[in-house]
Amino acid sequence: MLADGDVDQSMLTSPGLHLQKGQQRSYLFFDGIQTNKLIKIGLNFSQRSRWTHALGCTSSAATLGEEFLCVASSEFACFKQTFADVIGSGDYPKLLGCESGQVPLRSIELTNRTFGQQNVHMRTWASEVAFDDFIAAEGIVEPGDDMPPRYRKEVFRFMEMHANSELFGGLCEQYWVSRAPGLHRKLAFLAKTQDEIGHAHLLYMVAADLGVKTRQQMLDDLFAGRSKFHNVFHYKTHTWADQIVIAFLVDAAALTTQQAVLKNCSYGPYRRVLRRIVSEEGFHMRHGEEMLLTLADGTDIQRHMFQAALDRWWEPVMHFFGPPTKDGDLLIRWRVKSETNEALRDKYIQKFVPMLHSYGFTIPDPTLHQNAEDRWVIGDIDWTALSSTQSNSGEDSRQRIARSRAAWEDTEWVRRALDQSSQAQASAQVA
Amino acid sequence: MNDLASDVEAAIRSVSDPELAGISIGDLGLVRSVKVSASGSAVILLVPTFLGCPALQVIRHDTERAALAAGATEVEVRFEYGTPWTTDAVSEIGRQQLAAFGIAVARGDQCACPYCDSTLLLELSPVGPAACRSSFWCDACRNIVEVFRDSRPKPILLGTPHRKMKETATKKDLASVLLDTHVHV
Repeated sequence: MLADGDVDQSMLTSPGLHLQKGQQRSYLFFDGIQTNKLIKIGLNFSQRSRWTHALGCTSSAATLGEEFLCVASSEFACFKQTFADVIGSGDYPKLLGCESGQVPLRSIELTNRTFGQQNVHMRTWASEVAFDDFIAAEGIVEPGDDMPPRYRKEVFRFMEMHANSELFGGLCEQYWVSRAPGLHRKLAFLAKTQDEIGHAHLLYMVAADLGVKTRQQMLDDLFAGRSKFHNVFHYKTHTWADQIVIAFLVDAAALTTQQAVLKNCSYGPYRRVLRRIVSEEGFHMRHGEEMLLTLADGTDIQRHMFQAALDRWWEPVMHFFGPPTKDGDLLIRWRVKSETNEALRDKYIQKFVPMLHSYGFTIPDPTLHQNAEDRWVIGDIDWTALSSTQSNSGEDSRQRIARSRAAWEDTEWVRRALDQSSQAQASAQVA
Repeated sequence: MNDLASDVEAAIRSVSDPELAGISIGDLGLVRSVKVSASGSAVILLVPTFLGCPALQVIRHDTERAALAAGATEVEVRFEYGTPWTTDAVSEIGRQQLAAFGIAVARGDQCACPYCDSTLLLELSPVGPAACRSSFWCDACRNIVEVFRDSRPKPILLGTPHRKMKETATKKDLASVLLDTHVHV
C-alpha cells in the first residue's frame, strides 16, 4: 500500500493536474477486481514509451492522459517491481497522489462488454520520429493511442479554439434571432444558432476527451478571457448588413479552412465530427447567400449598407486565415491542417473577389489587381488589428466574452434541472 | 406509370438533403407521394422530419427544380403534417450513408455506434446540432455520434442519460483507460 510519505502533496494541488484530493471517483475497476484507491504516477515521454512498449496493453497500470500512469493501490507493489525490472529503479517516476472511489454497477457491465478488447488496438510509438512516419503514411490517430504529448497538445489547442469559435458564432447568430427581419429569417437564425452551439458541444466533448482540459475548464478559461477564439468575433456588428457579411463571407472563410482540415486531418474523432459540421455549414452558406442577394438586388440604401459592412469586414476576413504559416508548423507537420494559411486565403480570394465584383460591390483594397495569370492579388496585410484580437483586446472582445458568460450563467437552472432529473432517474433505478 | 411520372419521381427522390450532403430525401423517407397528371403537372407530398425544420424552404425549392428539370410542366410541393415522419422510413441505403456521417438510426429499441457497432452509447443531449438528432458519446471508440430521433418515445439504450458523468474529461478518460486494462493477478 502507498504510504502518505510517498505522495508529493504539492503536486496534488498544482493546476495542471487532473487528480484533486477529495474528488470522488467512480471508475476504479480492473477486470473484476474492485479497488478503493488509485495512484497516479507522472512519467516523462521516454519513460512512458519504454513502459508501454515493454508491457503493451496488459500492464497492471493504465496510461492516463499524456504523462501519467494510474495504478490501483492494491497493485502498487507489483507495479513498483515491474517498473524497476523494465526501466530500472534509478529512473523511478514521481508519485503524484492517490484517492478513493466507488464502483457503480454500470462499470461492471461495461467491463464485461467491450473494454477488454478495446486496448488491443492501442498503438504506441517509440519516438516522435516513428510517430512522424506514421502520420506521413496517412495514419489516423485514435483517442486510445499513445500519441506524443506535443501532438495531443497541438490537436487540443486547435480544437479548443474551433469549439470556442463555434460557441461565439452561435451567440452571435442568437443575438439576431429577435432582430432579423421576418419570420423566415428568424427561423433560419434560430436553427443556425442551434447548429453552432451543437457544433461547439461536439467539439468540446472531443477536445475534452484528450485529457488536457476538462470541458468546464475550457469554458471557465473562455469566460475569464484566458483562451482564444477567432478574430472575427472580436468586432462589433453595426447593422444587419454586418451580420449578412458574417453569415456569408465569414462563414465561407470558416468553411474554406474547415474543409482543408477535413480533407486529411490525422486525428480521427475530429475528422469525423468535422464531416457533419462542414456539411451543415454548407447549408448555412445558402442562407447567407440568399440574404446577400436580397441586399444586392435591393434599393440604393440596402446596397450602400452592404458596401459599408464589407468595408469594415474585409480586413478581418483576410486576417481570419492567419499570418503566413511558418516552416516547420506542427499543425501541418502532423496533418491537422493540410494547407497553409496563404494558400487558403488565396483560394478564398480567387472565389469571392470576382463574386463580389459581379454583384457590383467594391473590395476595400486599392492595390487589389489581377496578375499576368489573371489571378487576384491583394495588397500587403497590416496585422496590427489581428494581434489585438489575439490578446482579447479587440473592439468588441470584452462585450462578447461578457455576453457568453451571461448566457452560461442564465442557463444554470437548466443544467441544475437536468442534473436533478438524472439523479432522480439513477436513484429510481437503484431502488 | 408513364415515363414522365417515373422520371419525375426518380428525380425528386434523389434530391440531396441540404444539411446532409449526398443523402437523398428519398432515402431519408421524406417523400410520401408523387402524382403526375397527363398534362405533366406534378403534385409532390413531402413529410418533414420534424415540424419546425429550418430546411423545408430549401427542400421545397430543390424539389421543384428537380421536378421541372425532369420534365414536369408545373410543380406543387406540399408538406404533410398529419402523419409524422418516423425513423422507420429511412431506407437501407440511407442508413448506411448516415452511418458514414456518424449518424445512427435505431432499429426497434436497438441502437449501435455507427463507427464501431458498440452499444455503449451514452446520451449527452436529447437535441444535437439539429432538432432531428440527439448527441451521444460512444464509450467504446470515444467518438461523438448522433442518433436520429422522431416523435415516438426514445429507444432504450444501454447508457442512461447522465450528463454529469461526461462533465470532466479526466473522469471519462480515467474510466475508459482503467476499464480497458487487464490485470496480472
